[in-house]
Order: sequence, then C-alpha cells, then structure tokens
Amino acid sequence: MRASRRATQQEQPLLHNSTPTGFAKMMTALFVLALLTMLAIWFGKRKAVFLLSLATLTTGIFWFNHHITDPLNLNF
Amino acid sequence: MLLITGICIPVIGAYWIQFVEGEFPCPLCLLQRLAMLGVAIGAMMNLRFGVRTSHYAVTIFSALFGAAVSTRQILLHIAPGNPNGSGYGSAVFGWHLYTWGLVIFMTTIGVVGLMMLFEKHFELGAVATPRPMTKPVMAVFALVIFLTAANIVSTFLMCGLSPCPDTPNQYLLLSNI
Repeated sequence: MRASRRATQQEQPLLHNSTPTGFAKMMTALFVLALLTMLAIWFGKRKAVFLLSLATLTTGIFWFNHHITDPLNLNF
Repeated sequence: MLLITGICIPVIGAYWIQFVEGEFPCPLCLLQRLAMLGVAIGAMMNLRFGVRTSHYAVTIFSALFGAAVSTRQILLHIAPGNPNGSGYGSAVFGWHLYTWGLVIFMTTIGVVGLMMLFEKHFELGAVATPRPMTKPVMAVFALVIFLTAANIVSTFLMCGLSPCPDTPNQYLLLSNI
C-alpha cells in the first residue's frame, strides 16, 4: 500500500530572486494565457495565436528561471 | 488529432494523482502541465490553419521547455545527499511523473521530427486561413480547453494571488474560508 506523501507545512523563507510581478505573479496566469491562445485558435485568429503562444512560453521561462535560480527549501 | 489526444492522457493522469491520490502538483509540475498544453496548441494550429512548419515549431519549443523543466526536477531528486531520495510524489509504473514527463516530451520531439519527413502534407503554398472544424476536431479542442480551464481553477485554488509554494500541501484559497 502506498503511503500518502503529504508534505508537512513549514514556514519557508522567500529564497528566490527574479519573482515575476503584476498579473504574471500568479502562476494561474500561465494557464490563462494558454487558454486565451486556444480560444484564439478556436476563433481563427492566427496572428493572435502566435503572439499569445510567445507570451505563454516567455512567462513560463521566467517562472522556470524563478525556480532554478536559488536553492529550494523543499520538504516532501 | 492523435497527438492532441495523446498529450491529454498524461494531463488527465496528473489530475488523477492530484485528486484521487491527494498529491499536490509543485510549481515545476505545473510548468510541465503547461508545456504539454503548449504541445497541444501546436497540433491544434495544424488542424485549424493547415499543416505548417511554424505550427510544428510551437510544439517543439513547448516540448523543449517541458523537457528542460522535467530534467531540472529529475536532477533535484537524484542529487547526492538528497534527504528525500525517493523523489517527489508517487511513482507510476516505477517512474515518477517528472521522469515520464521527460520521456513524453522527447517522444513528442521525435514524433514531430518524423512527421516533418513527410513533405507532401505541408501546405506551404496556400494561405493559412482558418478552415471549418469538423465535430471530432471540435470535440478534441473542447477537451484541451476544458483541461486548461481546469488547471486555471485548481492552480488558483492552490496558490491564490501569490506565487505557488515550493511544496504545496493544501488549497490555500479553500483553507482561508
């Protein structure tokens, strides 16, 4: 039987640099951009699709950079 | 359509792990989900606007991004001295989800490479205009859009208006109610 692997809750100091700001501060924003891209495909707006895809990927890269630039205080 | 349907399977599987097994996705896991949706976006563009190399490029860039994130997560958990040597989350058929993620992304790149060998299915001479969507295409599009919307809801409930915690263990918005 697999044991549940819930992490214990701990106070974690903010160790990261390069934290995104504004709307992009929410990781949810990434999926919102992806949804807008898909809606642009649905409605046939090809140029908007490329722009939104680029925005989604760029924001994703920023979030990735945020998570790899400092040691993470992980506890599983 | 096969590529879109195929890439939806691990995203749906990730939701199974999240809601049935009760294991929350970490930020790197969320980025990998996003990359899988990005792979689907390129394939959706092919179905909607005709097969073009630029659409495959969207898929490849998304897969490269996803592979980078997966690799980072693998390296985090195999580093010497890692006190949590068993990795993050439960293993599925012996591998953790981020390992499967790397396999999926590299396979995607290989499949796209194979597809690009067949030059005749490219429509480079024609203007890329939106074409009518058949019902199967609309169904597949609806599935991907639904999964993306579901990710918006679950990520917002988990993280709220701030950056996601490195080790999420609750839905922050629901815990404050």
